Amino acid sequence: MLLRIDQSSTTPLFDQLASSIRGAAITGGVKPGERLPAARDLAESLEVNVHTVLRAYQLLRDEGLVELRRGRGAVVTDRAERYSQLSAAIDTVVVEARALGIAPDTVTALLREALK
Amino acid sequence: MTETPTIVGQKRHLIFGIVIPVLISVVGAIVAMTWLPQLPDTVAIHWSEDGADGYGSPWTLILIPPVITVLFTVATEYTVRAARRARGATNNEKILVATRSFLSVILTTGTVGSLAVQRGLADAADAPNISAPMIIGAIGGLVLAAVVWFILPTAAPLTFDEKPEAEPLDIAPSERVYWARTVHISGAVVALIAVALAVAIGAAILTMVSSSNGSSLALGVAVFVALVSIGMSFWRVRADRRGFVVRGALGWPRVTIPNADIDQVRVVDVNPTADFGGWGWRWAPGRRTGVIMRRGPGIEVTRRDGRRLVVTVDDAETGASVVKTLIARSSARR
Repeated sequence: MLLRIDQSSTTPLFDQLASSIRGAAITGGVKPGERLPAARDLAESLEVNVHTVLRAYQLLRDEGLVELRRGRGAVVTDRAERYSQLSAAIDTVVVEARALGIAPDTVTALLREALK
Repeated sequence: MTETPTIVGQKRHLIFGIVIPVLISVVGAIVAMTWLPQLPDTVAIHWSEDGADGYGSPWTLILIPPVITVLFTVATEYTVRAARRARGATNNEKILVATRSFLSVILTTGTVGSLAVQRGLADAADAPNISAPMIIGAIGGLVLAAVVWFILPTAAPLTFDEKPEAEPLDIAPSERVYWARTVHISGAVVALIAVALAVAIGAAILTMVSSSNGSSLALGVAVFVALVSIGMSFWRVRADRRGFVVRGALGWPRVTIPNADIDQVRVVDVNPTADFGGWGWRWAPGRRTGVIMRRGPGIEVTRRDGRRLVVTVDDAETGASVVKTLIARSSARR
């Protein structure tokens, strides 16, 4: 599980952290049942406030990717498995787009349109 | 006729690595079986300093050597055979093969010897001391193991070769990184550990049956083996600005290497038996420590003092790149 946050970015830190963890779930870097690092530990590592980490964890709990349990911390749910299916689907899109020679910008535009 | 790639010393391995140890234990068992009519119904199977203090069926003593020798030979043959096919056996695998002969001789001499002295006895309580066969067995076992060692083909060199260092991540200086991964042993190794546990528990039960004072110790050993197996089977690997940390599920063992102490980091391809002589928390030549949970890619961190730590882990590539990024940052800060 690779987590990256950028202090100089305009995106809020908790948002960056949440999407980093989400990304790890999609690529299989973190698996269902796995425990995320303790908020205090992760905060110390990334040099952010512990509330920033907790807020990211709460965001992920709200979308069902982690379960927050007293004493057990944040545990990744089975939803991570489904997220990695999305990753496989994205791979298919990339392969198809390359085969057809469609420019990356066009593909993202198509995706954005389809997601509306 | 189709030729499979020739493996050096195929015949020698078959005769000295498999047939001889198994044959010794089987012949010993057969000889002991012919003594059955002369033996008391219950024989002494356990001794303390004062003489015999545990009794059981002679079959226990007759069957122990062939069963253990065959089990050990079968259990080790899988990895040894794979290694011999791939590149020839290294010292680590040769030790496994030679150990079969040692086991076979010490068990056979010990049990057959202790039955031999009980022939014609009316009461097993009169069984004399058996330290002589045990000592002879230990010496004989070592001698045969040494002979087997020299007969087997020369050891293949360790397969560990130097790989280029990992590339740092493509990230902005303002970015913070944290990388963590859990590692655990594979199903096949779980099975091996289960066998080891079964042996430990079996030994505990046997000791309980045969002697009363050793039982709590043996049970303690079994529980200890169980705890250590769990603690050594699940690990967490972490790399961040604080350093590279590898720690067992129970919090111990734990190795922490500050980024400032790291000289190099690379992805290596680990072959557990050849490079580290097996799985688990391991030591190897070249001042290497390993947390070896499976075959395949791992992260090798070289400290400034030359010691190396190898961890087999999924996505070792990313992990090594994170470490490389972090050590570049830590040296830039100084």
